[in-house]
Amino acid sequence: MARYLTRNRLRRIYKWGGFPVSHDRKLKTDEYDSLHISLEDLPRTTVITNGQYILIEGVDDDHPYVAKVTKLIESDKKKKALVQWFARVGEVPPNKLKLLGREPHPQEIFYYEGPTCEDEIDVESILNTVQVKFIPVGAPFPDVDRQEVLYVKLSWNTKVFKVVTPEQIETATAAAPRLVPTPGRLRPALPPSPPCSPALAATPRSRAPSRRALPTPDPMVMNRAAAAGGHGVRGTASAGKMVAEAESMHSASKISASKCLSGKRRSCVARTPGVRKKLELSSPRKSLMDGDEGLCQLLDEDLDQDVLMVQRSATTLTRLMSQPGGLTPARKTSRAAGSWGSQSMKPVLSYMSLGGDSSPETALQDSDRELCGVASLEDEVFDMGLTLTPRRQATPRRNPATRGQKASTPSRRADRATKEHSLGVLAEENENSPMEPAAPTPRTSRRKSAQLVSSRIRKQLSLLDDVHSDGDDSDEFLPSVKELRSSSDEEEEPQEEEEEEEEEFCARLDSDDEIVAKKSKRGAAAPRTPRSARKSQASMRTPRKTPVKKATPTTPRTPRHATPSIPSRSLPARQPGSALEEARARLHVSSVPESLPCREQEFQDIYNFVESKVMDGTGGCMYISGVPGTGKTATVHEVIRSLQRASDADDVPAFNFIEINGMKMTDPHQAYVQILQKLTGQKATPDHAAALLEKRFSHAGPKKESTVLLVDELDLLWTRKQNVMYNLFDWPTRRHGRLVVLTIANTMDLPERIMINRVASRLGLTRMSFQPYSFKQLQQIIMSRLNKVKAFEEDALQLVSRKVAALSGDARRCLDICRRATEICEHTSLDPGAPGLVGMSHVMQALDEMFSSAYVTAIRCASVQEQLFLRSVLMEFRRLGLEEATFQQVLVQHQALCRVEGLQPPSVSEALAACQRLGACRLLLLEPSRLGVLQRVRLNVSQDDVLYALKAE
Amino acid sequence: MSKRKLKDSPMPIGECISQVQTLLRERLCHQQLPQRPEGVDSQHKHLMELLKRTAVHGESNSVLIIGPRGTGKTQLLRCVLAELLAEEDVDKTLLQVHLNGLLQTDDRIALKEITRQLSLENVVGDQVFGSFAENLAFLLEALKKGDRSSSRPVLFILDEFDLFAHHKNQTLLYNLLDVSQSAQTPVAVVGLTCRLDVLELLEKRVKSRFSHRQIHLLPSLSFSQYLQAVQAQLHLPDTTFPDTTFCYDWNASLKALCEDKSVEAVLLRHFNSTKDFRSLHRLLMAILCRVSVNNPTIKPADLLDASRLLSADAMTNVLHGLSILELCLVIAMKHLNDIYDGEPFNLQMVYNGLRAPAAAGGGASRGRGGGGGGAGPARVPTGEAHAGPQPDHGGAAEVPPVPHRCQAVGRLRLRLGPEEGGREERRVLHLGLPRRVCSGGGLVLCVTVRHLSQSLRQLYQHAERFYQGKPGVKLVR
Repeated sequence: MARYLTRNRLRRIYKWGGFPVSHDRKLKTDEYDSLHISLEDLPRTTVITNGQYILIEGVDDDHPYVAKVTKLIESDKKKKALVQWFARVGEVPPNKLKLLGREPHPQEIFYYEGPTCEDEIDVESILNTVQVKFIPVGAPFPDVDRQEVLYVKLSWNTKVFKVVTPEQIETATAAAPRLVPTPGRLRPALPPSPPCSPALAATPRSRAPSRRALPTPDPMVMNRAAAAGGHGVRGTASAGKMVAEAESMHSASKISASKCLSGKRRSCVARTPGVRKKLELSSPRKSLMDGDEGLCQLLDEDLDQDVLMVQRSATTLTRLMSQPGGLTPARKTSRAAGSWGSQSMKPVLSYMSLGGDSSPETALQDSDRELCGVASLEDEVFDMGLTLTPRRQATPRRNPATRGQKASTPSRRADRATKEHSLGVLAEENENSPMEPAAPTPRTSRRKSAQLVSSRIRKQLSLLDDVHSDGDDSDEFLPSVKELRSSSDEEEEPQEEEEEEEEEFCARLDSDDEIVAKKSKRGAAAPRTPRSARKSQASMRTPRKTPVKKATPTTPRTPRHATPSIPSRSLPARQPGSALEEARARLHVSSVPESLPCREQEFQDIYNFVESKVMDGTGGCMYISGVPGTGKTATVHEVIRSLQRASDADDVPAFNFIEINGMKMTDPHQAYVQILQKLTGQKATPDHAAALLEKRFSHAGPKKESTVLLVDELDLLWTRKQNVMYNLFDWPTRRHGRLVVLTIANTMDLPERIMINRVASRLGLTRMSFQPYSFKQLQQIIMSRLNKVKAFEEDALQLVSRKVAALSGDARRCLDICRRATEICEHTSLDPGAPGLVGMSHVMQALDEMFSSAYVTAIRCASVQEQLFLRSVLMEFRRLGLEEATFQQVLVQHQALCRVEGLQPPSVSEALAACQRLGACRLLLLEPSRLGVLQRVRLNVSQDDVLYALKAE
Repeated sequence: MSKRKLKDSPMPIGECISQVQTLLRERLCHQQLPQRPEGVDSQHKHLMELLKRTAVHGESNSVLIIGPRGTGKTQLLRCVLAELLAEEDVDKTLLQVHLNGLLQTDDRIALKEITRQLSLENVVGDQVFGSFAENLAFLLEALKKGDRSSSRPVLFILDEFDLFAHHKNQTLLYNLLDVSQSAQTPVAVVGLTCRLDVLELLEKRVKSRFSHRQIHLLPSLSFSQYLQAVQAQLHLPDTTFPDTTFCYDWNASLKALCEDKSVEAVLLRHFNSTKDFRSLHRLLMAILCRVSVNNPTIKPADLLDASRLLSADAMTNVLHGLSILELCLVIAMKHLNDIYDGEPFNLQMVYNGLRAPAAAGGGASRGRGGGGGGAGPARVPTGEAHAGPQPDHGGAAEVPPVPHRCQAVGRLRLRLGPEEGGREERRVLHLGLPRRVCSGGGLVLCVTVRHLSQSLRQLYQHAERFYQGKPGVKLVR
């Protein structure tokens, strides 16, 4: 184990390639041609040159930022890179994605032309290089999505999508080919090749170097490199992720250093599986099948016995055959349409026979495949923090000829599987791999061995099954793994078919339980929807044998995605008919008014605050206080609405608006979860969400929009350590936070009362207090809501607003009273057709209903014994001179009183029952009834009220 | 009789009786809704209009129905709902969620119940809900999705509304009322409570979101109305009852019953005691149980008996069942209670009070000579024991031997303890007995006599009545 740990500790070394090309005296910067990134102690180096596409560490591990290097400079002893950003689908706000007018391709990126974007990055944040391809607007996307190839079609400037000219993209490519003056070790990067260049892709010559930035395909050099690189080279070859990045020279810079970094990251991530568990809600770009899953599949498979495999393949086959429909959508258009049905069945059959016959050769093949897969898996397993089964160690009888190829296949798959989405960095699992000591053989000449193996396999196949005549047919039956991994072969042209076939064959052997509907692999003319295909495939999978700890999002999470909703009604809601009904509808608190009267000043202040912060791209906090019903939340919403209008009109930069409410969460820490979910659509545990948000707000990101966060009912986010509030107020102070936090609570002195100093200090002094509405304002609010609907008498309105203003200044209350008054008016009117205006009497009645307490009425309506009991309570109080008496004492008074009144005195039980009834109404306050006659009694109403109520009778 | 013969198929009397029983039982056990609750017309109209607006116009509302227990809050609501659902379009539109504060004791359970009753579970498949937080977010999301005109209105009925106000942060109430005040799915939140001060329980922001509509249900009926209500409760419907003759007889006898003076007095007493309809129903139920083939109509005597049965004092009933020894102990305690004026005293004192008169008891002493603990056949004349306050009990009564002290303690705990309710420790504590002392064997039991407000004379009367004619006990006056 130790070696893995040490390996993880390797440092990356950044070195300029060559001497400064130019020197800027003004800025005191030196410009360089290329950057070499290498790992300590490891020979391999990745070179980043101008014009290359790179992945940059970002908030989201799975989707690092994409950019193109435009300049490499050293300034102030720091290595920097100037970049041109590209936006991923996920970085474009969902509402703007609609402008695209189509479903974005998961691998699609947009040439970013928007403002507010720092283009200077620290080289240490570079994760890796990436391959970016320009696709003309009309052309469809390549059919199979490969994770490490990204496609550019359009540009995005935060407002609209524009057609991007190939020049914009190609200039980068043209700038790329520079000689990297590292003699012997690093070969000059390939000249720019047009995307999908079949010639280049086909030749092994281009492949090896492209894979590795490693030497020429010249056998001599290769040998030398192999000798020098040791495992490293082999590992590279087996880390077949970059196998097929033939057409792009970016692959040349899949650096081991960055791999190491990624390895570190991944391993630490993998050790805390909970953290990685990410529930994808609505990001279409994420494929359902994740890296983890690929690994799980592999683990599953290598634990399976061959027999099982055969059985399973048999079952899958039957399933497959029973679902012929499943095959159709995956059909390749380029195939001969007539014969595909039978053809596509064949390979399975052949494979069946292959497994079933268990001829020595296939058996060997099988076991070989398995063992090699296992061996190369080990690194992966270690990294993932899973346990090792002893079986993996055993790699006794390998066919040296096939091993190179075979071992590479699963490991490549594993590599892909693990990192496909996660880091997008180079694989380095096999970098130091000591697990294959007996494999010094021609990894570098993979192409050769591949050909060799493929020919062998073809021979075997032809021996086993004559039906399986055409090599091409085998890839009709691509196992889903093929689909899942960021297949390197996609871009390759038919010339590569042999290899493809052979790879696929291996893959098929591997993933016998996943033989599902064949997926077309070539870049076909007809674009597919990858998601649905995956879904179907996921649903068709056979259940796992081994329970794997890491939960994988294999099962379609559609239920979770389903948006809950109350069923809609069959009949439409009736619209208000009369003027009173109309008024009532308008007076409902929920109806959004055209404007918010009486809060103009507050509106302007908040607007200015938010606008300035959004304009400057800075952050800030604001605290808004006020008693309930004074329009705090409504004003903020109004501000946001107008800001969004302004942003649509391009007056202010675009921004995100997020709203959380302390009352609408069960726990203060859920605030993180909700913010994250609203920001990115991710679901996470509170801790993980906090970490992600922390990262997001503290890292400089390209094209980051400002975020406006409204925190309603702030006081409920109070925790003992005040972490939540601290973070909420700390993020805006970060340099790259771009977060504007508006907090709302009821009490004016909340920061002083409940916040500890460091929290209160971060909240700052930008405060605003919403005063309760005055009666004039309330009147104005009602008038503006009514909007010329004549339903109220002038005096009635004034009465309502004066009354409410005197009591609380709560606009909600005011509106509710008005609504009730319209109802009363409607009921009491003699002529139901024309109820007339709401007058003083109606309003008075409504006020009476809402404000009067029912105590007096309740006492009047109580039974005789209850009233007597209340009276005796008063008597006893007077006798004792206290406001409290025991039931026993009161009972004596009660019985005496009954005799005076000429009533039969009640028994203890009856008196107790009467007492309890009064207690239930809270006319009396009682101790728990288990105390019996000793329970103490107090009045919950004033004595005067009781006397008044009893006297009036 | 002649009338009955005129009928074509008079039902046998047993059949009729069972019919009556079934019909009235249903009525008294609230299984059958009355056509229209009486005396609450305006409230009925108010609630009806309100719910109708929610159901038909999609207007969100919130209302509280407040009234003492047994005044028909739930009945009112059920009547309104029944009437409302009878309308064609409402029936298909309105969704109902019934919650009870006694059942949904916290927001988590309440949310699950809401989700279940709205059958939103179907949306999430059979997936078990994750956390409380997810649950809440889910429900809020669901409610937020809807809008006034297109979503089905949801009626939330919160029984024992005041208990919901005790949930943490009043999250559920805040959210429900917030929905009712915003342009989301139309909801009507109807709370039922008997607490008059329920609004004071609400937090200020929750309170602000509540529309402050309160429907007070306060029983304001007079005695004559009460009598009519009694009659109506027992009245048999002329039209639907199968045997008209029996029905006629029954109703006539009922009328006669209600005019009876003694019956009226009993009912008046009941009415004075409480206007709660539930307790009236209990009384009527007791009467109904006495109706049989031999006794086909309700007699005034039945009512008197039933009333006596129900109004009997619970503690007196307990005293009826005490054994002589227990009674002696209670008497001793009562005596001590008088002496110390309600201050607590311990068992030693009670025990002494039990024994001492035996020694000092007017020469009639046959008390134990030995020290404590002996089970000697000490005969304590009860009267002598408490000679002081009760000179009229001069004679000596044959009482059982003075018991062990521990026996006495055990007795006390067994017979008197359970009245305190609660767990064992509680009980001991309420008896004033610290556990340590109890197990240590010391007799320092502090006993507070409760429920003994009756005079000692009453106690003796009970004792006499109870032990009259029992062998081994001689009560001497």
